[in-house]
Amino acid sequence: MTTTSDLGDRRPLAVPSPRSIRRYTRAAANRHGDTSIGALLSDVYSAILMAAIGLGTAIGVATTLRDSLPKVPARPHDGLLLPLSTLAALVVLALAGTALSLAARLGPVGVGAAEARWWLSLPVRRRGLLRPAAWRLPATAALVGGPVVLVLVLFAQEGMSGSAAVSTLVGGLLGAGAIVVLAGVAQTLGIDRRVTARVGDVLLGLVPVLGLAVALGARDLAIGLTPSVVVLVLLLVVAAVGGVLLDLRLERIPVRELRDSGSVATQAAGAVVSLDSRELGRALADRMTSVRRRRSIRFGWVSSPARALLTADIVLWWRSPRHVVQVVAAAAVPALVAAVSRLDTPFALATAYLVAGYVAMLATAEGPRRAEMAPIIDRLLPIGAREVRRLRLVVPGVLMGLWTLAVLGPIGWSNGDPAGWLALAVAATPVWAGAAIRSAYRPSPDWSGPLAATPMGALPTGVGSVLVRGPDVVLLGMVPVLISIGIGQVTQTLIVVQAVCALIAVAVGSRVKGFSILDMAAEDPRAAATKSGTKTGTKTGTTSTPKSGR
Amino acid sequence: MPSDVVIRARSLSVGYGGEPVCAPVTFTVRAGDALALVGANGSGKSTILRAVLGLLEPSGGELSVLGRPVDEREAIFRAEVSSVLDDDAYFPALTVAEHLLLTARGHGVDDATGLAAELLAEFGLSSHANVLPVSLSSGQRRRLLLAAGFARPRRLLVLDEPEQRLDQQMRSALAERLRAERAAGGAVLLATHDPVLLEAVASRAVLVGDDQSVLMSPADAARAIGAETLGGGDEAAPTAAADGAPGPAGTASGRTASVATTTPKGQSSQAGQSAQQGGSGKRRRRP
Repeated sequence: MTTTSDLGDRRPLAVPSPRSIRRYTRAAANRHGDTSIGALLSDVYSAILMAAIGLGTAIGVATTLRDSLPKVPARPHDGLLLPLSTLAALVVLALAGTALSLAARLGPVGVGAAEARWWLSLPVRRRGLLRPAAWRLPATAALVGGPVVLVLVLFAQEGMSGSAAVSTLVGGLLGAGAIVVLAGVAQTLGIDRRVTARVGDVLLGLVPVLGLAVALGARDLAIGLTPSVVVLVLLLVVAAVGGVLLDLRLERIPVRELRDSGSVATQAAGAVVSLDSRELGRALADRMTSVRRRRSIRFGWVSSPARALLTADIVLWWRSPRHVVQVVAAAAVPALVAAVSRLDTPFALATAYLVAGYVAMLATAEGPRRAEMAPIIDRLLPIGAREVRRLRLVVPGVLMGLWTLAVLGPIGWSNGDPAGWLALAVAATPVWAGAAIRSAYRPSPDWSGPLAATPMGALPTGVGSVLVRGPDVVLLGMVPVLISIGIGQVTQTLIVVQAVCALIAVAVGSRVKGFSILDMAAEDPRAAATKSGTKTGTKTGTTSTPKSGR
Repeated sequence: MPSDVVIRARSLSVGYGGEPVCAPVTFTVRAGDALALVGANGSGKSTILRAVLGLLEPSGGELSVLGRPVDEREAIFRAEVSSVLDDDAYFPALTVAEHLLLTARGHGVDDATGLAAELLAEFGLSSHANVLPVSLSSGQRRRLLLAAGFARPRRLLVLDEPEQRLDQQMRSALAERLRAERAAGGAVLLATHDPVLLEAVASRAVLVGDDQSVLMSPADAARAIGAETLGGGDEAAPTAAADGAPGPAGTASGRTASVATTTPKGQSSQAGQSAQQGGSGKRRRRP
């Protein structure tokens, strides 16, 4: 090797071990850090204690919920019956899909920008440098997956013995870890992370459909949820072999891949810490889209700002297959819940309607969420901020209208009053649209202000009021629908009240807080002149670039 | 292949999502040679550098570095190729000196502490040796990155617009340092918009463009950059600079080039047809 001028007589020595590089970095960081070992231990102790309390609470809630369920089906079924255990098995399958999708989106092996720049350029064995990063996500998945599966099975299965609970816990732990490890092996094999993530998404999207198919095709299909020893050994073998393969092949992951994954993980972690679900969605979704498209749309039909806005929202939704699948799959969830023995109660159906509807609603408001992130998108168009909000209601409104019809229609059919339920669905649709817009344009928590100490750490004051924007409109605006589900019928009064709720929801959703003089000028020049105390002789309504208030 | 060939690129095509960002390029860089890539913003200079460093898979053509196909996963590749791109990332808890020490020790340099001290002095960072990078100015952080590029053994040094955020004095010092690099037998590949740095350092240049990429002398490339900066003209005629032929900066100025280049469609064209293509014609932009 050429020894270039600046090295002079300094001959290269043996390259140090990866562990020594990690130690050097850690030791140097510790010298400048102000975290004592006592504080670190205290944090670990608090985390373990909080996790144990959380797990205990979850187990208590799950068993209480299970005991509160009716022992026999609430209503007579027309052959549609799924045991609770089958539903739990389907949820486990959905969790597996989620774990695979998340693992692929986050890497699962990745490094931060600093590690990529200063570590991965060194001629040391990368395996040693990457090993901690490679095991972080599988370990996290295992630690989360085990308890989650245990709580789920405790909810679905009565009279579980201690050994069965341990088997379930270990099975969940091994299964979740194995899924993430396999995603890592796929990464080392050069399989596109988008493909792996798509497999997980498809699995997740298929679960409700699969559940309905099982309900229609096979009655009383009971699935044992406690894993047998054979299953546990199988999971252990998969996790172990996958782990060894992952470790051996860590060197084969290109630095661009590692850095890209690390960047996503950093962005996602930042979003979680700052309680910004929109940013989290962007972090997990943006790198999964292709940088180029084979065909571009000519947008020949776009002849006005309003059409441009609507077209943008439609294209954004349609070009994201995940969002399309999300809406369709969520529509099957209430029907699936209604087909589960002991869970076919009005309360469970109403809960399924709200949760699945909210999940579907989130998939319809990608345009407004993007616009909130970059307000210039709205300001570029020569229309007022209020009109922008109203136009942005259209796409969520249409999509959620179809979704609500698909969900409430069958309920009305089974209750013998399809017309009434369809009318209720039409009246309820604007509530979803209003909530979608309110949720999309909600401000981020203000971390620059005073923080309040909470069991979850320091949080900004007023964070609660920020986080409930969107869900609040759904909960309050859907009261008539929830009552209808509860009493099993639709009345004219409920439809009228629902329509009034819809009007309020639309008004709330299209409300622009912090309306500026410029915005007012765009909407009504005379009002703006009055407000500002000046006279204006020019018409600015069609040419200004209004501020899109939050 | 001769042993002194450090980079050999033949009809190298680079891009994103299967779309090329520039015309295929052909060049050879030998030990003691410095090749500059010039061209408009988005013309593909940095993308070519990323391909040479193994950070991007070429979409076509042939590329070898130090006689081997490019694979940054190989430790030997990382041991011999040093790079300074625009990756402004640092360990938040490591000081300026510790970043340099990490690089030097990680490459097994004897007396890493002494080398780090020398580089800190040379790059005007001695007084900031024990501060965290977050407290440095943008230009000082750039100097730290450049110092790290020299804090290790190397046969090839790849620099992406190293003049960025540097004051004139530091640019001159950098040019001096790169000349010393060449004199010591090191090879340099850099992308630059600075005509002074280009003429001071480069032995040859490639004007990277959409329709064709042209090999030319540093003097002509510097004129092309100047014309580009001033809004474009066609005053800079390319000059002959035979592929792989060593040549000092500014040689053969004024002669019309006859170097065959390749268009994205694989058609041959003459370099002399368009020295200014970097700023003309329909542009394909990097996403």
